[in-house]
Amino acid sequence: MKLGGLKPVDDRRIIERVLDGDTEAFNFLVRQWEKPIYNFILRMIGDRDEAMDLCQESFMKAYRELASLKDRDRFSAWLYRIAHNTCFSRLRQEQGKTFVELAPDTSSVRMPIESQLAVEKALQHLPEDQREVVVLKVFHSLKFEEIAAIQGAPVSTVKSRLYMGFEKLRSILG
Amino acid sequence: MTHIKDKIAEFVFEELSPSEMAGARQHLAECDDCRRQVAQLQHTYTILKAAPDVEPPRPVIFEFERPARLSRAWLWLSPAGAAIAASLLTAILMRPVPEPAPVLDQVVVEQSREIELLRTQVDYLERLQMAIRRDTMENTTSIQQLAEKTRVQTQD
Repeated sequence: MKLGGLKPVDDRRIIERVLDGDTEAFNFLVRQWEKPIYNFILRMIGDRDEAMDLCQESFMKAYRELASLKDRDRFSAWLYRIAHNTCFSRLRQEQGKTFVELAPDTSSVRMPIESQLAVEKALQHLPEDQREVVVLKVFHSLKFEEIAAIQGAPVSTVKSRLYMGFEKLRSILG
Repeated sequence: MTHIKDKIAEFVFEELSPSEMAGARQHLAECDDCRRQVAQLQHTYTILKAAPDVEPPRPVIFEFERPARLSRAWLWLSPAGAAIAASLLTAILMRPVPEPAPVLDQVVVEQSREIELLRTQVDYLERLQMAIRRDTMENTTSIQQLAEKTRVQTQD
C-alpha cells in the first residue's frame, strides 16, 4: 500500500536500519508520515493541540514497538492502527465532556474558510466509527480491507459505516 | 437488470476489478436510480475532498543524541601521563550520568544515551589499554638496553 510519498520498499529499508541501530533513521519515517497522521487524528479529535499531542504519542509508540512489526511492507497501515488506538483511547476518556470550539487554523486554507469549517464540523457530527471510515477513505485513500483491519471490523461493516456517514454528511453539507 | 447498489462505494472509490468497473459503467448508462446514488456519493466526496490537510503546528520531535567524540591525545601518553590518565579514567567512571534534557519519551532517550555512553567508555578503555601496553613494551625495551649497557660497563 502506498500512502504519502514513501513506497513500502523505502519504509522497509528505513525500518531495517532503525532496527540495526540507526535510531536517527526513524526521524525519516516521522517526517514522511507526521502530516497524514496528524491530519487523521485532527479530523477524529477535532482539536489541534490535542491532535499534536496524540500524533507525538503515536510515533513514540511506533518507535517503541517497531521490532514487533511483522510485515515491514505494511508500516503505514500499522502506523494508522496505532493512531486509531491512540485516538479511541482519548475519545473514550472524553465521553460526556463539553467542548468549547476555538478559532480555526486558517494557515493552509485553499477553499473558502466557511466550507472548510463546515466540513470539520460536519465530521464531528458523525459517530466515531463512521467518522473514521470516512476520513480514512476520503482523505487517506485506504482500501476497505485496510480500514477493516484498522477498525477490527468486517469489510461489510466498514462499507455500511461509510454509507451511513456519507448519508449524514450529505444531509449536513448538502 | 442487476443494480450496483451494493457496490456503489467500490465503484466511486475504484476498488472494483477492471471488468467489474466496465460492467458497472454499462449499468449506470441504463439505470437512473443507481446513477443518482453514485452522483450523490461523488458530490459529497468532492465537498469533503476540497477541505485540505493542514500542517502540524510543530514537527514531531525525536532526539537521538550522540556523545562528543573523544580526542586522540591519549595516543601520546607517557607512562607518567598514563598514570594521570588512569586517575582521570577513574573520575570519569565515578561521575554521575548527566540528567538528560527533557524529552517526551524519557525512557527511550535515556536508554539510548546510556548505551552510547557505555560504548564510548568501552572504546576509550580499550584504546587506553593499548596505549599503556605499548608504553610498557617501550619501557621494558629501554630497561633491557640500559641493563645490558650497565653490564658491559661493569665488565669493562
